[in-house]
Amino acid sequence: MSQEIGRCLSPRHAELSARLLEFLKKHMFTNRFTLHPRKLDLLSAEEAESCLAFFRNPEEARAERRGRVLARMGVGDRSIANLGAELRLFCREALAAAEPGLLAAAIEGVDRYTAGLLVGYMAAREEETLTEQEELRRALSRALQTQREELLVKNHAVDTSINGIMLADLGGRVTYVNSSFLGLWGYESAAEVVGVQMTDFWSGGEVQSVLASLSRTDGWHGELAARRKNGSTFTVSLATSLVKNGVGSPIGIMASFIDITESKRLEAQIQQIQKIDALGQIAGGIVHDFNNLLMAVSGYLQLLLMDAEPGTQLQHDLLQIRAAVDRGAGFTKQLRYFTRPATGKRQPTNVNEVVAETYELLKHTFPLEISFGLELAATPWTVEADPTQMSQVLVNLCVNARDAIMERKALMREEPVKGRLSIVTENVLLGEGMARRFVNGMPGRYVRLCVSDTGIGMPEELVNRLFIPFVTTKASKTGAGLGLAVVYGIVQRHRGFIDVTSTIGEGTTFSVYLPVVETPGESTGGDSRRPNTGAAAQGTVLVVDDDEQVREVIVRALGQSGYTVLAAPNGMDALALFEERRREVDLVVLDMVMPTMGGAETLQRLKQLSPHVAVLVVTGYTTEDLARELAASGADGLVEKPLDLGIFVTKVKELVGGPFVRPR
Amino acid sequence: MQNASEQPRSIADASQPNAGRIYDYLLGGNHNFQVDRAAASVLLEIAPLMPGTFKLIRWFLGEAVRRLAAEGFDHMLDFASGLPTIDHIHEITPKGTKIIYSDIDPVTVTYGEEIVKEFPEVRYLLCDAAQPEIVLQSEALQRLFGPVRRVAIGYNGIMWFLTDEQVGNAMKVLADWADPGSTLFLTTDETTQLFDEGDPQMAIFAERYRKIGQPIYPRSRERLIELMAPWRLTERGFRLVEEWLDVEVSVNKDLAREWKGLGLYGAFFVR
Repeated sequence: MSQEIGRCLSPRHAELSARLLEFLKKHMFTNRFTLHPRKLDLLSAEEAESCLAFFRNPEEARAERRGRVLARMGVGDRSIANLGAELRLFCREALAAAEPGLLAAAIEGVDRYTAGLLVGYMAAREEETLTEQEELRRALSRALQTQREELLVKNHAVDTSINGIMLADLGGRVTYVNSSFLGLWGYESAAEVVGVQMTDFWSGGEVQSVLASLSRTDGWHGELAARRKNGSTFTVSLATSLVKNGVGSPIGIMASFIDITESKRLEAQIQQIQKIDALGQIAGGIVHDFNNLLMAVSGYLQLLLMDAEPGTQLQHDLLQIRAAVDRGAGFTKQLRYFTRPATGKRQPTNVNEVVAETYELLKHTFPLEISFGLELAATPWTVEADPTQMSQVLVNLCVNARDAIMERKALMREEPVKGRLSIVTENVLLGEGMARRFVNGMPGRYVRLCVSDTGIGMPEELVNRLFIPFVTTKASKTGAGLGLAVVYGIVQRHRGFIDVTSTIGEGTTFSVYLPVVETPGESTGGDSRRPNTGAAAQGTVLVVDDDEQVREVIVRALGQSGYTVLAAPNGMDALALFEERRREVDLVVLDMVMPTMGGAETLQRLKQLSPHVAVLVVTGYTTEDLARELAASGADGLVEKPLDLGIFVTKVKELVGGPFVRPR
Repeated sequence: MQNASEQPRSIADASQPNAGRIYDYLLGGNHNFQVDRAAASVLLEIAPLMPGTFKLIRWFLGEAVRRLAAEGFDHMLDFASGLPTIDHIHEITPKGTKIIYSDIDPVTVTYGEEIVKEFPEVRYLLCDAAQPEIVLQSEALQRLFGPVRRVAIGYNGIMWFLTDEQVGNAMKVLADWADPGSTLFLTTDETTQLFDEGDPQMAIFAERYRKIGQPIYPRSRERLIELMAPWRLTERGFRLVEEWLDVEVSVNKDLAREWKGLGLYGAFFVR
């Protein structure tokens, strides 16, 4: 029967193909997208062939295989379901004239064919669905793994950030902290912190208002006092804001912190240095003017003493005045250390030797009840320093220590005084971290000189102002409050720095760090030329000083010594006078600070006029750098006010009569 | 510029409907979840012709690729490719054709890489269609295309998800890179009038897409031509997709009847 059906229907292959094409076009949108309209021609021809082949040889397996093919091509479920109806219609039309049994058999064949198609089709779709779902699952799994890895990196970044980070819920309860937070606040594990209210980690009530403001602002940034686990406080720079989800609703609070205790300390250091610097500049001016004043008083005094009869009341009184003037000169000299230490002779120095010598002096002057302790490095590194100034530093620190111990005795009414003053020297190697604590700090080798006392101690506010002149806590107000300012100035000029630690009621330690130099430097300052003190006092000296009294004193002193003296009140007049009488002038005594044309410019112009003219600079305010500059500009000597007239005249003799005879 | 809440969600996010998965479901695919099918049924209530429309868009891709392959293009770039399943470019073009697919969603890209890994001359890259320079400057393109710059480019079914600014910038970037003779194919609809009139159905439709992270930017054909510069519309111009396919279909006619004569168009532009 099948063969008969096949024979009847095969000639109508083209008709069936065209019919199926129309059918497929009609159901085009019920198919899957993978069945492109351009493929319908081929599909309809293939399907017609498949159907007719089934009639000829009705194998179920063949229909099932065809069903799988249709599934892969993208034929839709409804197309498959309606295909049977279309094929039945075709058979009815094609076999209308055939014997009835043939039509019935053909219809049955169509049903078996479409049943086979459906079996194969459904199996293929089921496999396809499972495969696609599996593919999707694998892709999702890979994507999740990638996201997991990215999240791990982000989590690690947050956890290891040097900024402290805290997350909290909207109720203010901590939900997460990173390692830096734990370190800053002194906790050992997050378990101690999670669940606790954020406000518990702050000192003072300001944090409450900060948190309350978050809902009204984009965030808050500022400094707050934080409280560690052990109760101590420190300052942090805090940035905090609300965490919001994808639709902008707040879901938590985030805060990040930086410990700014160190930076604030450095900031205080810088401010102190700037203040001291400013005071230094003011003091420098005062020293200069005061020195001129002292110069005038001292100078006239010395002239008077030259004429006073020895042993008389007049001489006695004049000597008393001179003693007072000398004390005033000593005071300005001290102040000078603070403003700019005077030109000193730096040389390779063994700090232990300085300590030993100074200790010998101190132990005889300090109260016996204060015990000394010396702990000196076995082989201290060499520093380049002025031993005299180093001794001054040590003396000032020890005096300060003594006074602190005595002050404690007075307050605590300790009898006898139980005081200890320790001096320690050691070689230290400062790393980056330690050096950074000081504004001028550089990593490297240092000799550390520590002076510790068991005195009254100081509050932190006083430590921050310690080196400012006239800051003193001494009840008796002995001294002018310049001791530590002088120490500061000297140490700074030696490119060192000072660390101070103090505890009230226990004592204070001053640690002076002096940089080690690898190669000993040359000593600076001073005139290296051998003086000629044997020459007779003859020659012509031009004195240039804007201060009338100072000028008169110098003129009289030189005149009395046998010199012909010319005088000029300023640089311009001096140059005019020099040009007129340069053949006569052997030496110019030149003040530095003058109006209109200062001493430096005058010196330069003098040297242009006559390169070989000798110039002795007189100044009440000098620095190491200035001395070097003056020497480079051609100055042959430098003396400081107030002048000791005898020493001054001796210096003049050296310059006028010695190897400095100038060609005329 | 889309704000954070409007960014398309990843195809891996099964908690929210995804436009790509909805598209796959309406095409009859299996790469979707219940949330997508639920969202699709809401969209179908508003626009029951969507499955047909999506099939037309997809069939236009096949049609365009066949035509361009016949014209000799053997280097093809495709943007917003979605999942490169059966009947995608590499299944249609002659063997040896070099193809770069791209998509904005990393999971789609991962999936796509898996599917095309058996094809040595096909690559799948992560790229936003608004920033084609990402593909153009990629090492993969340099290695695969070498110095070839006369290419076929697909922007099929994506234009309505890009703002005017994004379209303009992307077209300029592509024009600067591509050699003369390069051809770009795209599909677009013309529902601007409905948006302008405040059609309530269209408003709901647009809002649904906005909520799933892919807002729609309707525009007229004239406006699109302006934005495509310096790409030039070919002589055949904009034609209804079924005209390109040489099939008589009812979808667009229904669309035209329901949505006031508007239809789905395909077009080719030449550099």
